Amino acid sequence: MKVENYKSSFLSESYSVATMDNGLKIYVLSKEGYASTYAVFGTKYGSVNIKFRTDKDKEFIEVPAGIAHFLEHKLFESEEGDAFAKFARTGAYANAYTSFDRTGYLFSCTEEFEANLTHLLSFVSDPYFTEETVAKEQGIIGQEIKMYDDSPDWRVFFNLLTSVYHNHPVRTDIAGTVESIAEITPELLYDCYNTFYHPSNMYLCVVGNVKAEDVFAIAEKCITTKGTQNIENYTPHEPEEVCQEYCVQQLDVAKPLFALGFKQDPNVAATPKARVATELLLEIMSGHSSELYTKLLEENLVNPEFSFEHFTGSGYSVIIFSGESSDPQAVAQRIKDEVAALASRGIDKDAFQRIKRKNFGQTVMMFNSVEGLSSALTECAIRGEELFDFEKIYNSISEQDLLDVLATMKAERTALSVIEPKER
Amino acid sequence: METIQLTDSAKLLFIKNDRFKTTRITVNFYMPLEYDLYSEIAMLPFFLTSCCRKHPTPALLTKHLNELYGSVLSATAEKLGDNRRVGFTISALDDKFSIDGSKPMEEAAKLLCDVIFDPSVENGEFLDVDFQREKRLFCELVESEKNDKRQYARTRLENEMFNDSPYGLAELGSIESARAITKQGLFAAWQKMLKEGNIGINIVGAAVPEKFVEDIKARLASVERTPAQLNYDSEQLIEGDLKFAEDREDITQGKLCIGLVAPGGENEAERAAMTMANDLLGGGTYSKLFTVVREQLHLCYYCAARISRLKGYMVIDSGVESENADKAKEEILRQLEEIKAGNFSDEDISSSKKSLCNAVKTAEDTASVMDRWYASRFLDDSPASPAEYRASITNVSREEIIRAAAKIKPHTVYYMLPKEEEK
Repeated sequence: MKVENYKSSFLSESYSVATMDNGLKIYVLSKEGYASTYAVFGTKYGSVNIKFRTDKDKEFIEVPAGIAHFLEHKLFESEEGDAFAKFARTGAYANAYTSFDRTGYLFSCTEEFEANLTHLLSFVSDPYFTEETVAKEQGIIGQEIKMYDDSPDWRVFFNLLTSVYHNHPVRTDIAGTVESIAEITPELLYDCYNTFYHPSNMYLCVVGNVKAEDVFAIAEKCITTKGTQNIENYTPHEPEEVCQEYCVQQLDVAKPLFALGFKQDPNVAATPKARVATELLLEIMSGHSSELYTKLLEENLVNPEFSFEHFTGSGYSVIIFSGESSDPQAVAQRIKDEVAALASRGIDKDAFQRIKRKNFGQTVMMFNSVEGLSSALTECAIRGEELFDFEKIYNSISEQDLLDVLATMKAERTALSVIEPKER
Repeated sequence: METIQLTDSAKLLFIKNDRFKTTRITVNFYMPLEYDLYSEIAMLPFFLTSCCRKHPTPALLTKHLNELYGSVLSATAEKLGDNRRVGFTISALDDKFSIDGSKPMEEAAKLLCDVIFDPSVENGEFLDVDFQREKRLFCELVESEKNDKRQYARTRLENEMFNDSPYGLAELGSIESARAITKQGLFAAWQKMLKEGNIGINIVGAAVPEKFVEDIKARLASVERTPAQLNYDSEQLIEGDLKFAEDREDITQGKLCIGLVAPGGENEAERAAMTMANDLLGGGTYSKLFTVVREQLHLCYYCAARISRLKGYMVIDSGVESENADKAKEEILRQLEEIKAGNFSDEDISSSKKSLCNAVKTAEDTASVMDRWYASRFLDDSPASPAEYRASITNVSREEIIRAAAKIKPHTVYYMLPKEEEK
C-alpha cells in the first residue's frame, strides 16, 4: 500500500493517507492526548446516484429514489443480528447517514478501538437483504419521511432544489418517497451494493487516539476485495435556467421561511480556492457585519437566522441564502440588488482582510474536534484534496477570485422557495 | 482542575486542557427560579451579547469578533432545577495561533466582560434602538420554538407536568410575556442579575487569560452585590392520578410524550442507579424502548428517555403514527414494568455502563461539553468530575437499578396529533 504523509508545523498537526491496491483510501490523523477516536467508513454513493453502470454493464441501470438511504438502514442487519449490538458491547457510539453524494458509517469510542474498527469494516462489507427485512424497513422509513414532511427547514430547502433543477436527481428527497421505496427489492439492493460498495469507491477516515500504522493493518486484514472497479454515473442534461422561479408551501410556522438559490455552472466549485472564495464573498456580502444584513435587520426584514451556504457536488452548484422574513420576496430582491451593486463597486479591502482572518481563525478552531476533522477528511477523500491547503489558499487568495465567483451569480437564474404560515 | 474564589459569591473553575487551539470562557449567573421578570431574564443574555458601549451596533460587534480571528460569542438562558442559569460565553483562538502578533484571546476575554458589565446605557436606561430591535428578535425566537415539533411537544408536556410552578414555563417563557417586556423591565432584570446572581465562571483551555481575573474582580467590585439564596433542593413532583393532555396541530407525524416521577436520589450512588435505569429503559440501542417498541413492534420512529437529575423526573418522547399512539403508550409503560421486574440481562447492564462511560470520556475532548458539565453541577457541594461519575456508574449493581426503577411512576401523558383526528 502506498502511504503519503502531510504535516503542518504551524498547527502541530499531521496526517497520513494510504491507498490500498483495491483502491480504498485511508486517512488517519492522530490526536495525541485525546480520549476518543472517531472513525467513518464511507462510500461515494448517495441519493443522486440513481442511474449508473460499471465496466461489466452495457446499459445504464436505473433504480428507485431513496435506495442509497434504504441500503444504509439495511446494512446494520445481518443473519447474526443487529450491528449496533456489537458496538453496544464495547460501549461505542455508532451511527450512519446518507447524503446527496455519500453514505457514511461511523463510530466513536474511548476503548477497544481495534475491535470496533474491525466490526465497522466487517459489517459494512457483509450485506444481508431479504423480502422480510426490506418490508419492515419500508414501514420505518415511511415514518421517517413523514417526520421530515413536518420540518419547515427541510421542506424549504428541498422545495428550492425542485425549483432550481429540472432533471438532476439532487432535486429528489434523500429518503425518496413512500411510493418510490415501495419499489425496492433485495435484488436492487444487492445491485447497488455491489456497484458502489467496492473499496475503490470507498474511504476510511480516522481521527483521534490512534496510530496510523495500526489502522492500516486492521484495514488490510478486513478489506480483502481484490482488483478495482470503475463506475460511470449518468448525469442528465440540466439547462442553465431554473425550473421555476417561485414555490410556496404552507406549514404550521410562526413566520415565513425562505431560501433563495442562485443556480451556477457546476464546474465553478471545482477547486478548493474557488470554494473558499465563495465563502469569503458570501460573508462579505451578507454576513452579520455586512451593510446588507444590517439594513435588512433594521428594516425588520430578517433575524439572526439569516444565513448562506454554497451547496455543491457532482453536477450541481447553488448559492443559497435562507432565513425567516415577513416579506421573503423583498429580501430576495435586495439580495439580487446587492449582487449587482457589489459587482460595480468591487470588494472592500478592509472587509476582505477581516473576513479572511475570521475564516482562517475558524478553520484553525476546527482542529479541536475529532468529529469536525473526520468530516473535513471525508471532504478531502471525496474531492481528492488536501487538508492543509487552507494555509496556502489564505496567502494567495485575492479580491479578484471573489469577483470571479460574483460574476457567476445571475439574477435571471434564481429560484425562491417559501414556507408560509397556514391560515389559522 | 483549579478553583479560584474571586469573592464570597463568585468563583472561577479552571479546567486545564492544552490540547485545544482555543480557550473558552463562560460567565454564569445563577438565580432562583421565579415568575417575576421571567421573560426579561430569559431575554437578557441575547440582548447583552448583541452589542455594548465599546461596540455599539451588532455590525460593529461582529466586525470586532471577525478581527479576533472569528471568536464566537454566545448566550444561554436555562432552568437548573428550581434555579435559572444565565450564561455568557466566548471562545477564541489562543494567542500563539495569531499570525500577526495580536492577542485574540486576551481581547476576547475583555470583550466578554464588556458585554456583561458595560452595555450602552443613557440616563439610566438601555437605548431604545437596541431594545426595540432585540425585543423583536427575542419574540421571533420564542415563537420559532413551534417549528421544531419534537422540542415543542416536550415543552408542552412540561407545561402540563409543572403547571403550578415557574418550572412549567418554557425555557424562554411564553410569547405573551415576551411581547409584554418593557425597556425598564429589561434594565431591572440586568440590575437584578448583577446584584443577586451567584457567579460561576468556567474556563476550559491551556491557561486562564492574562489579566482576566483582575478585570472580572474589578468589574464585580464596581457593582453592589447581595446574592440571592439558591434552591439547592428542587421541589419534586408528587405522584398522583395519571394526567392526560392533548393538542391537535398541523403535523403529519404524531408525538407522544410521557412524563414520569424519577427521584434523583440522596447521593451520587443513587443518582448513578437512576441514570442506569433510564438508560436501560430508553437510552442506547440495547434499551427496551429501542429494541422492543421501535425495532420489534414498529410502534414509533424514535423513542427515547431522558432524565432531569435536579428536578427528579424523566421524559420519554416518541414520534408515532396516530393510530399507534395508544398502543405505543401501553407498550412503553409495559417496558418500564419490565425494568422494575429486573428483566434485563447482565449484558445489557454491561453495555449500558460502557456506553455511559464512553460518552462521558468522549465529552472530555470537547470544551463546550466540559463547560456545560460543570455549569450544570454548580449547585453540588463537590461536583463529581467525569472520572468520579464514571466510577459511580461502574459500581452500580443490578439490585440498585431495580430499587431506583421502583421509584419511577408515570405522571402525565401528552399527545400531539394531526388536526383532522381526535383521540
